[in-house]
Amino acid sequence: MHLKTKKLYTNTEKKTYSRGIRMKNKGTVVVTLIVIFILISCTTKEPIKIGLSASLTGRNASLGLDVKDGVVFAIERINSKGGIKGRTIELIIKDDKNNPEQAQIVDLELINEGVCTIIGHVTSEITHSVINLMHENDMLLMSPTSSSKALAEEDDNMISLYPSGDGEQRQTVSYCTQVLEIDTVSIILDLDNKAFAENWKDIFVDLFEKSGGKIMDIVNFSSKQNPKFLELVKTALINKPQAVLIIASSIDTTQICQQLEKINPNVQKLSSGWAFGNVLLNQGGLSIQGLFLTNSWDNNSKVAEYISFKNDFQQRFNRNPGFAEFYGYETVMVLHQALWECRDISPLEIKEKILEISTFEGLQNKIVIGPQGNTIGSVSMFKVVNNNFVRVEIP
Amino acid sequence: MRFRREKTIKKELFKTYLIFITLFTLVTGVVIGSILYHDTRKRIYDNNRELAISIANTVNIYLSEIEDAVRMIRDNLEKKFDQKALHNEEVDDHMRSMLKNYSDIEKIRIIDENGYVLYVMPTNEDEMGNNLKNSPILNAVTREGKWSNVFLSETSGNPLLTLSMKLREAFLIINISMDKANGVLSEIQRDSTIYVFDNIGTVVASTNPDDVVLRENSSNEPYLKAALAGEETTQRFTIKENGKTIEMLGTSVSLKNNWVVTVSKPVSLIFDSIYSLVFILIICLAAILVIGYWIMYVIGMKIENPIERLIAWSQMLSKGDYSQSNVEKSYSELDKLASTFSVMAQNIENREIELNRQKEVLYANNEELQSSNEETIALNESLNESEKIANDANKAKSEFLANMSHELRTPLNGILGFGRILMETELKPEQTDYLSNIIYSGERLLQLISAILDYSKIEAGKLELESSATNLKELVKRSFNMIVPQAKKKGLKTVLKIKDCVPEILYTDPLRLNQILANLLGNSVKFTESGKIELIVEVISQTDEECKLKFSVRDTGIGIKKDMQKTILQMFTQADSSITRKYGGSGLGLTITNNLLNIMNSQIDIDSAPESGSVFSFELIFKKAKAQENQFSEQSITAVEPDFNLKTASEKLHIIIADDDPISLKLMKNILERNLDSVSITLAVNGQEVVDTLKQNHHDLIFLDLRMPVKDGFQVAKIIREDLKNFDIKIVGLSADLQEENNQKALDFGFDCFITKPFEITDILNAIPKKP
Repeated sequence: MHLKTKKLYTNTEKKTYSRGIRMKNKGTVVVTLIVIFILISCTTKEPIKIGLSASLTGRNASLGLDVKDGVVFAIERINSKGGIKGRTIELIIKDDKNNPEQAQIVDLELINEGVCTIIGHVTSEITHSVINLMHENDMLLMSPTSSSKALAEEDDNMISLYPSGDGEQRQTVSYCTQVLEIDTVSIILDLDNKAFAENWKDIFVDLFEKSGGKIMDIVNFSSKQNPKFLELVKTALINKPQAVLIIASSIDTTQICQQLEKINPNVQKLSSGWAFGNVLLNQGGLSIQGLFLTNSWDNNSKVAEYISFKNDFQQRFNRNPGFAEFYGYETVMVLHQALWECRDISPLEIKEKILEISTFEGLQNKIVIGPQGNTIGSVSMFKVVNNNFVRVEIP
Repeated sequence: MRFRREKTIKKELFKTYLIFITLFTLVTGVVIGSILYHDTRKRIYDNNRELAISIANTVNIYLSEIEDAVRMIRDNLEKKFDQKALHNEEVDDHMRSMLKNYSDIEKIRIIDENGYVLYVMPTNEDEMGNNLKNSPILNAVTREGKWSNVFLSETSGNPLLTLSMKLREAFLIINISMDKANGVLSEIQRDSTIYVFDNIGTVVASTNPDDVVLRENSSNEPYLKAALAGEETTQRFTIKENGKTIEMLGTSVSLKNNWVVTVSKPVSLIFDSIYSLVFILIICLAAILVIGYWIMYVIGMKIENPIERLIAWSQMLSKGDYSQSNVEKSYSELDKLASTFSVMAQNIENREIELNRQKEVLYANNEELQSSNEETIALNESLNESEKIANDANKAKSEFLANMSHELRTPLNGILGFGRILMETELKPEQTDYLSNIIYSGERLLQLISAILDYSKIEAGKLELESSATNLKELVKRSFNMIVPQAKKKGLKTVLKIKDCVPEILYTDPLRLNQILANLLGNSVKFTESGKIELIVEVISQTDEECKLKFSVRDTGIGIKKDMQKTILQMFTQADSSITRKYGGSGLGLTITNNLLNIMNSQIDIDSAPESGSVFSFELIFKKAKAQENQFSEQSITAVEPDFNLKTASEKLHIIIADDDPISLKLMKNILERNLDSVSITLAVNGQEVVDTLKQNHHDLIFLDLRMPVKDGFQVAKIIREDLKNFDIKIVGLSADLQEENNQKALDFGFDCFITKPFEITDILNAIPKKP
């Protein structure tokens, strides 16, 4: 909303300015102003337009809003340092309402507005729905949080910043079997983000079963249809699994955890990285304490760049950044480096440049982007302890 | 090519008007614009501020109302209800009525101190028993209540706030939807943008609900930073709306719970009124220009038309048409001009009539004058002819006199020359007496010829005086001494008195002054039989520059009658014929003397009476010579004696004598041979012979007569100097012609000196170069 502020003249400044004008020859002033105007007109470069398309409203808007804040923060930082070769970045924000049709509409709007890249979407399902549109329009999509095997394996116009592959599932399975010694797991998943949730579930099931585990129940729901979480949980607990794996957004995961806690406080709660965020901590209460979940982001990282980022973000938004803000920020930084090195700023050249550079300096680790545009990164296991995400090591 | 534009009254009027109106409009526009700008800005400032404070108050009231409602629930819960038995109809009814009465309240929850949800209205089974420990809504909650930041509703996903109040053993949590607040803001002021920010700078409510939905955070904006710190501020900032950047002017005011209300308006609104004013000004300017131009045109025409008629009238006048023109009444100045013009035209007409009348008279006079003029011209022609004849006659007379002088002087030269030579021979006393008479007669004849020649020069106005520094006393003495022998011979006493104060050196023509004095003294001697002759020179007056002298010749002669004193100064006149017979003389002497004095701006004064002697006097003004000019020559008046003995000169002289007159040749040869011991003389009768002789032999001296056949003296001298390049030989000119121009001409042609005939023997001897 507010990108630029102009300070009002104080009375003293105004007087000085007026005196300065009077002192000079009027003709000279006019000519100088014209020359300055022409020079400014000539030197003022067009801003680089970047689009942001994410779920910004609705029950699952928090992930999109968090990504948005990370992206806005990154762009504010870049612009405050002079932009890219003198060109500032202009961010155009669109709300996909977590709806594939709406996502196509807003993405097309962004394309028509001349953006060179679209950052988004925040869920794999929506991301998947616009892949063809990107291909048809030679547009580059950079998703901060989308992650699915299907997306990772396609040669498309998409760069995914969140590590894709089966890292999360492998970590979860390993931790369940080796540390928690869990053999039976029921799964509750949100099919509104089917591309992510099902992919995640499939890999987990495959790995878990290969490890000797057993999937007791798989309960699907749609977050858009006011799910009855108590009923969902009851269903998931029918066969008394040792653990319940939740593949849902943070707000839904919170609700599920609350119900689980009420029905069976002893059941081990597991979650995908999707739920990672402040909403979980703010609304989870005691129900989320002891929850295990995976992520490639470490809130407690001591890397200097990350601490600097964290402090600046806190100062800017009066709150701590979550993983979505982190990935939103890193996505822009990867794009930023590619834009610096591009001769002609076009979506496909940016994509080629990102793939060519492939390794970028991240806030916590190096970001390595593979030839298919997927990020190759390590994933860690976290446990909620004292309302904080604490990384746990697998022995 | 550049043309000067025609300057007319109309153009000048319009130009002046245009400049004035434009300047006036511009100045007025700038002044009004400036006032309007500042006024509008202040108004917007004030409006914004008032609106911001008003909204702040409204929001504060709104929040207070909610807080009061929640306090009421809190109090009721504490007083009426047992918190451990919340689930009863009475509590539900109370909560439902609260939800109904306060539509902003979305949900009421009671949470125990461990974070467990004890009660939810509207009822939600799922939520009952949920644990919210660690939730910010339970953090630092007081009995008076604590507002949360904006967050998304877990059920609707819409942004909402909570107001948490501490109960004795639980927390009362009220969810408040911002939908209604946003709607209210939109209705407050349509042309203003209003934001309500929470204490971390996130938009809580706005006239643009998207900003709330998008959880916009503006905590980094300077205007908000200041307001979050509790400072009321008005600043300019930009917002993005539909992809456009809009510059805003906003006032931010803090609310009681550290929230901030910002009310802003587009800065362009400030300028809209300015633009309107500019537009109105342009329209007014255009209208004023058009109307003004029309007025100027009318005034211009009113001035121009009479002037045009006056111009036409003046053109008629210039063509001679003096009929009165009808110039319409216009401005009084122009009417006066027309009236003056009319009078002027009438005057001109009258004057012209008078002029024509006079012209006719003049024509008549002119015709007379013309005929008179023709007569005058004829007379003039006749006079010119007569003058020409007279001049020709005069010229013929002068030439005749000159020729006569020459022709007389040449034989006189022979007579006197041979007479003087003969006088040096041994003669009987009787022969000597005869010879003396011959020489005397010859000299008198010579004097007469000279006098006639002088007179003719004076008469022709050809006599020119020279002026040279002269020793006056010496000159006077010598002139006086010339008559002394003759006076003594007649037994007369001679007295010369020169006053001491007479300056010695003065500028004068010594030859002519000598001639004057000699003449007067000669006359005195001539007409005085006994007594004395006296010459007195005295000073009349003198300055540093000039000196006026009086010369008086006094005698004791026969005297002159009064009536004859003027006559004797006329040509060929003496006192009476008896005098001529007794004393002889031509009667030219006094006339020439008086004429010479006239040329010198003086005249002879005669004071005489018969038998009482005469005094002839005259006064002359002399210019004084300066010290360095005191060296003067007396050559012309001094008979120079040879300064060496020619007869003893050791080296032989080769001399040519050229003259077509054989007697002159013989005389010259005789003089030279008699006076020089060693001399070789070659005779030539024409110029060619001289040239031929000089080509063959070297000569030292040549006496060259100017008038000779074949080649004259001038031609010979030119050949000697230019063709023969002979500059060693001395050329001495000889001529009986006394015309003075010959002297200068001779010098120009290379002559060294010039001797006139008849000459003295000493003249010849002085011309001989002095060889050791």
